[in-house]
Amino acid sequence: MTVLTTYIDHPDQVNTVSCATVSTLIVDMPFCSVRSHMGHDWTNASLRQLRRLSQTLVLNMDGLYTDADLAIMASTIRHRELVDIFDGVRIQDVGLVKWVQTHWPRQHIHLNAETGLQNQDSIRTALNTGIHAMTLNHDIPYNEIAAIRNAHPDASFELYVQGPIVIQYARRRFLHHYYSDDSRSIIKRTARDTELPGRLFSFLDTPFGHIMFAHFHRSLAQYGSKLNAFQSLPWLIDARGESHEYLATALNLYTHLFDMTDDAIGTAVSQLSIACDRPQKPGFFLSNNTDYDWRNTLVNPTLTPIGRVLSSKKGTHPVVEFYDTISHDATVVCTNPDQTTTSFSARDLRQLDEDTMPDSVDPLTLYRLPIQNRSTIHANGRLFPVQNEIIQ
Amino acid sequence: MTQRPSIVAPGGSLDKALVALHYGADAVYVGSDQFSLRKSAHNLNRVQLNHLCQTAHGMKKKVYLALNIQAHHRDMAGLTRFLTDISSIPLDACIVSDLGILTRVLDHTPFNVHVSTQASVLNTPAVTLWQSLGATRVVLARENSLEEAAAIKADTGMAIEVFIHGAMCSSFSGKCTISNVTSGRDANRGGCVQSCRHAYELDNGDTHYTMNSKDLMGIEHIPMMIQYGIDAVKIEGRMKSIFYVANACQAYQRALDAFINTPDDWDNACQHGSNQLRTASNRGFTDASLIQPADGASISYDWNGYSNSLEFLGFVKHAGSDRCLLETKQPINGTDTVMVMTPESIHPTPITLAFESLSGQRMEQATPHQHVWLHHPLPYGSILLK
Repeated sequence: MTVLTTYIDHPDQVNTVSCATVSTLIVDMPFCSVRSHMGHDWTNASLRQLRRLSQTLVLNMDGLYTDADLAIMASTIRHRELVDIFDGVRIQDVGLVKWVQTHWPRQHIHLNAETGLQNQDSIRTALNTGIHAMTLNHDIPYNEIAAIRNAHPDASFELYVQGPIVIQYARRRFLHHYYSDDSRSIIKRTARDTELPGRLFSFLDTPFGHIMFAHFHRSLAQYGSKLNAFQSLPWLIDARGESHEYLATALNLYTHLFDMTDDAIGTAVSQLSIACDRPQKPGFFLSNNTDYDWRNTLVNPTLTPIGRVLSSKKGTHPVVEFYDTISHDATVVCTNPDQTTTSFSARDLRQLDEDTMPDSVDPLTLYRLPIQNRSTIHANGRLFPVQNEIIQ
Repeated sequence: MTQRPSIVAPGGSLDKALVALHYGADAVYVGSDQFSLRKSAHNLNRVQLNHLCQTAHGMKKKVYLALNIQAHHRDMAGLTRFLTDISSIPLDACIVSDLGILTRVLDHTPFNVHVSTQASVLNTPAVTLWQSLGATRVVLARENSLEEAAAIKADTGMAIEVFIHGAMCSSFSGKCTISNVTSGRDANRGGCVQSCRHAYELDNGDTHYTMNSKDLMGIEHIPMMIQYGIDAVKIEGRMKSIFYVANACQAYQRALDAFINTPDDWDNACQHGSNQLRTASNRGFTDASLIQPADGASISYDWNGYSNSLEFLGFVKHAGSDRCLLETKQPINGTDTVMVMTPESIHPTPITLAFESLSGQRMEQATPHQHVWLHHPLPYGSILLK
């Protein structure tokens, strides 16, 4: 049986949640929850009723706050006697661990995915600050999740399996500033990036700032072979701002995922897609190659350049500089930005302002290269040693 | 005695870093060829870093190395080796935003650690956490006011740095991954494609540059920064031109010195500095959240261009007794009269050009990205403008 966690931000969702088996219920409240779509202010009585729907009731304090915000939040928690109602809090700002421990000593502290921790060192450091659990960041692929769990066998992690992905969080309220005089207003818009046609992003403007969501929802249901390894983790579903149908379908799908046929899963995922009008995608769960395949492709990564071509123009001499002292006997290979190469001898180099060979070729000093065929040396070319030669 | 905040300037390349130091920066922050947030900058290799540190220390100035990516686990594989390799370079601090990189820097190098604005630290408990982990300075989030910065400093004793000038993330820094999902480029590992500058068509039919932030200019709040004991002010712009860096460093150094030395003339000095800052490329200016939370006036909803009143033509890369080596950035005619800005000049002054190629031939015109001899004895870092 999978262990599910989900959010609730309006009483209308109570019936839907009560029909499912939810282990942890996360409550958005307008005094502290930045992503509350509804802005509903729960009474203490209604919060106590919510406690009956799950084993654990958690307050979502998912923002980045100033000291003034924190003072208001501490005052509200005290004034409204919320301390004994919740079992824990969820935070984005790892710096708030000590603050929570001060104001709410017995609370279970959980780090949200938006904290942005993506490597084992940062996760280890965060765990050592006193947090009890964390939702793994959306950018971490499944193989790294497995490695993280192996490295931290005693830590409690949670996996986000279904819902929108926050891709921007700003304190400035871009929509409110433009459209509204009421600072309490919540504004929702669908937006198209004019430079990326065909994609629908969601903008949410709340009293805490502006939140932008990706053009797809993260949906891992169709990747059961990968999810299988993470059955023992709590799974997080986010249906805030979505329809009852979306919430009910998601809760049912992930509760019974491993009992369902592929066709039934596919049908449920299609229903989710229609309900939210967004494609359902795994995001970076399968792999994350951002920035590994678009830079430095022109450079042989196994060689370290010893210099570079600063300029090379028809009718004048190329200007080069080196990063280290090189021998007069050295042969240097220039790899141009277009991947063509040419070589020259260090003896060809000339002082910048004299037509003489330098006594020594020193680092970060400019030299001219009066070679015959200048078209073979291009600006921004990188200089490498010929193997088995030179560099002192 | 009044404490003057130090100016921390961007060094997107070795030349930019050196020019920044010549024009008044007290420290420069630079990227290495790994683990830095500006992949497109001409980041520095080990030899360049070492040279920069020796030069800066000779001028009694400092060098900070930005290692401010939010690292994937596989990025960490080479980090210890990299840190061991640079640990003998006399850097003054590393700037980090990742908790894991922080611990590795402290474990493997003797360097101080500053917390990058990418960590979006904006409250006292967060500063206390980083302090307890070993950081010695925090660059606060640009959403903090100066008053909040002063209170955090008073509560924690932590050295506090705030941004004073340059382009702004529209979001909390480090809390934007638009590029990741739209372009496959990780915004927090140096690949930001600046989607916040795009026009967005909303479902109500409106189209505007919804998130297009104006640039920060905080020169008029220098008196408050000094009063509050802010330790350092940072200029954004490792990807900007040498002219931008020089111009900003000079304007802020003179403004800070003017307020301390001749406070009665502050209004004139502030106006002069403000005018100077507007000459370099900018997206319009705002003081963002330095006093009050930034509002709609900080966004250019209807425009995403740049403006400038001076065009950067080139800079002097090598000084000589009767001529200097000019690195061109724009086409220049040999007969043009252009303006020259030097580290010592109050205003750019006109000169008439005469230049020749490196092989000694007289030239009528220089093309961009060329090195030519300019027949004027200008000092290193002099900047040609029109």
